[in-house]
Amino acid sequence: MKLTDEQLDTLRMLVDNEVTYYETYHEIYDHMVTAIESLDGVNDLQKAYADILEQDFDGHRGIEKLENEHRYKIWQRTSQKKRYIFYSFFKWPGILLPVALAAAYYIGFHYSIFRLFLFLGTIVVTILPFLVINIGNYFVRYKFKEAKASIKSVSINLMAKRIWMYVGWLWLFNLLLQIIPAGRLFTVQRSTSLVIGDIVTGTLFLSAFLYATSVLLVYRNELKERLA
Amino acid sequence: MSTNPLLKGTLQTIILKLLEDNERMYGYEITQKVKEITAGEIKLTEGALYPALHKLEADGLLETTSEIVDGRARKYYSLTEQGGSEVTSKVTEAEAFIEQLQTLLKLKPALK
Repeated sequence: MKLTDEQLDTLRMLVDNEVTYYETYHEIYDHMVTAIESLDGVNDLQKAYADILEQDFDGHRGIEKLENEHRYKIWQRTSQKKRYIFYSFFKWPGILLPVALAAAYYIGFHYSIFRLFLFLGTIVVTILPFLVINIGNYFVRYKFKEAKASIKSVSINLMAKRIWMYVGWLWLFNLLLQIIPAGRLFTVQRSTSLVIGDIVTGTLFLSAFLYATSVLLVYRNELKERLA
Repeated sequence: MSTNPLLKGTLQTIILKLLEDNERMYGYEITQKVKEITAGEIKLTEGALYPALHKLEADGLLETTSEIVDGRARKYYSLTEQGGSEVTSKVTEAEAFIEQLQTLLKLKPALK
């Protein structure tokens, strides 16, 4: 049997209420239409939908479990891609970037204005991934008229959020090093402890920058795939 | 018989084998094919199938393409090069396991 446009609209609404992500939406919707059209006849579309949902997907909980498992798999895959890119910054030729940044830090810490640049740079590092990811997602959803979020974007967004947490702890650590008198924590002069603190926070900030860059590169590749 | 623990252990092998024989398939098609081949004896639920498909895709053994069919997007699964080379080893592994299982299950202590 062939479903009417009205029936298809009803199914779209039912599936839309059932799922969270657009990838799942398309698969479940296609499955429902194909399964219902293979029946000899349908008196009650909503009942037919509910029966197929229960038999083939174990009901609402089954769909939720399916999406959670898919999201976890996507998270694993994007994390693996991110790690691969992150580690490439410690091999040739990627290592040129951290070396250049480390040299810039070393020179920069001789100038007091550098701390302001470092602070502003941190703001950029934490905000830029969110801006890029959310603008990119808005563009893709607008282009393809997708009402739902993508599982891949959710995973990458989660990575971007971790940058916030990491940088937050980083600045707290830096603040503590500034406050705690060197005489009580380090058995060296205060000025020396500041240098030690600056090297440590500079290194940690560098890793945050490389992490953010890795996340953006993963997102760029995913965006290219979606637009292809 | 619906998807049960015994079947879940070989589900990925079944999917890989079906895709080797059929070039590309979508989810519902795979469940119907299994039902057809086993004359309805094995009913593969989508709740079990899709996680297996997603795992195989995440492992790089499957790739997906989308096509518009009757006004809706349909996701097709097909083997990657890596997936193609894995099929033979996985099928051989499953065959060996089934053989061992048959040997084991035939061992019954004689009661006198």
